[in-house]
Amino acid sequence: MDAGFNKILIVEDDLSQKVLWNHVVARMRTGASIAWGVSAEQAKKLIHQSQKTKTPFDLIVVDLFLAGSETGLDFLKSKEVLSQKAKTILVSAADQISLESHLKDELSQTKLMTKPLSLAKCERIIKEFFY
Amino acid sequence: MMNQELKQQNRPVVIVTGCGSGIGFDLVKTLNSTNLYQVVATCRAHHTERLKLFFPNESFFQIKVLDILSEENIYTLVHDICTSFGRLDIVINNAAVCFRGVVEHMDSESELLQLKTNYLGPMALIRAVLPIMREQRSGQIINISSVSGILAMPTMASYSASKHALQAATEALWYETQPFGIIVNLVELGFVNSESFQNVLLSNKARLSTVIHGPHSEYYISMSPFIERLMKLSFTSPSQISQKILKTMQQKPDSLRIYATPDVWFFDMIRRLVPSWILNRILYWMLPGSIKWGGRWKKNSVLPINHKI
Repeated sequence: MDAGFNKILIVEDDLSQKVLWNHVVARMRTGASIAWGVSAEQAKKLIHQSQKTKTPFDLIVVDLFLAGSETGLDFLKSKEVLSQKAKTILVSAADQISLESHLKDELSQTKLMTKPLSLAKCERIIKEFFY
Repeated sequence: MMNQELKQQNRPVVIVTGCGSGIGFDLVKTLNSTNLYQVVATCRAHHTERLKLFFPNESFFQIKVLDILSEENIYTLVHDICTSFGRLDIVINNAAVCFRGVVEHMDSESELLQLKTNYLGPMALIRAVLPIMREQRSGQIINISSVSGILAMPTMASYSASKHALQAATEALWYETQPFGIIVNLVELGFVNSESFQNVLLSNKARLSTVIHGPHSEYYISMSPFIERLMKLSFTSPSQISQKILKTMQQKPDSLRIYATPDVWFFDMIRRLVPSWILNRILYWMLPGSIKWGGRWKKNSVLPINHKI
């Protein structure tokens, strides 16, 4: 399977998720690169770097609760993310219905994914974007 | 005019921080009404208008902007007061901020702001006034603390840490100032029947979690109304607290701890007398909604692992 993304940014402070995401990306896109940030601040720096090298991210996956003071929601609304043309996925341990009802307007262009994550769940949602 | 100036020279000079609202505001009202003190009421810039409204053109009442986070601001204030009055008698560290959030929902910036406002700022003010009080061979430092400086409760870790720090430093200071005739008191407040709980700040993540019923939201949902209820049930009003502080200023007790509300005395006693392995468990089960805390991450629930490959 070869999905249409080359560069993915994952913003997640739970580093145990790295194993899963490495596996997902390896299965879905040969040679795709993953950048990892634990906070919105770190992720913004990664976006700036990608802009300098003219290699923007195709997909940004961000957890709702991150290290640092900003939430995933703050990050998705930041100018750094809005300036990218990347697809965005918001991951949260909160209930999907609750997320959709409270954040629907703010996340109209973002797909939601609830924890616990699984390989199948991640693949399914990425396919919705890139197939 | 000469008599007025002489009178002014004889009045003890009192600095009170955090006068923009709550107990600080009530305290300076009380102090002003006694007509015994030269009051310097300090607050953040956006609160000065309110103070000016209540205290227009008072002879023995000054309003000063003080950013307790700025050492430069603190030293400038103390210098101005000494230049104006030639002395400084009482400092009341009342300014505080209260962030509510479980440890996981706090962030470094909020933690630092809390620590700076509730501990580092007051200590900086104390350092600024101590040389003056030592020269005078007299003075009084009153630090306003909280039952949170005795017992830490869920969602109050950061606030409790800052109050514990203030209490510990005040206790050490009590010993250090004994030779100089400087009185050091720690006025400890418990539940006060006021709207001050509305000034509690939820951390960014705590607020979001509450809105979406996310992780740890059950703590906020249970603890916030519980504390609000306890506040409303309290028989102690802000003006009673002000009277207690005034009494402390007038009597200048040598004792370190002044319990301003009965529940503080109670919590201090049980903290000292009941072994923590018993006390923590009893309190855990007594806290409202504790049986629901943890949501689907509770240790005995049947959970899928966090990630599957």
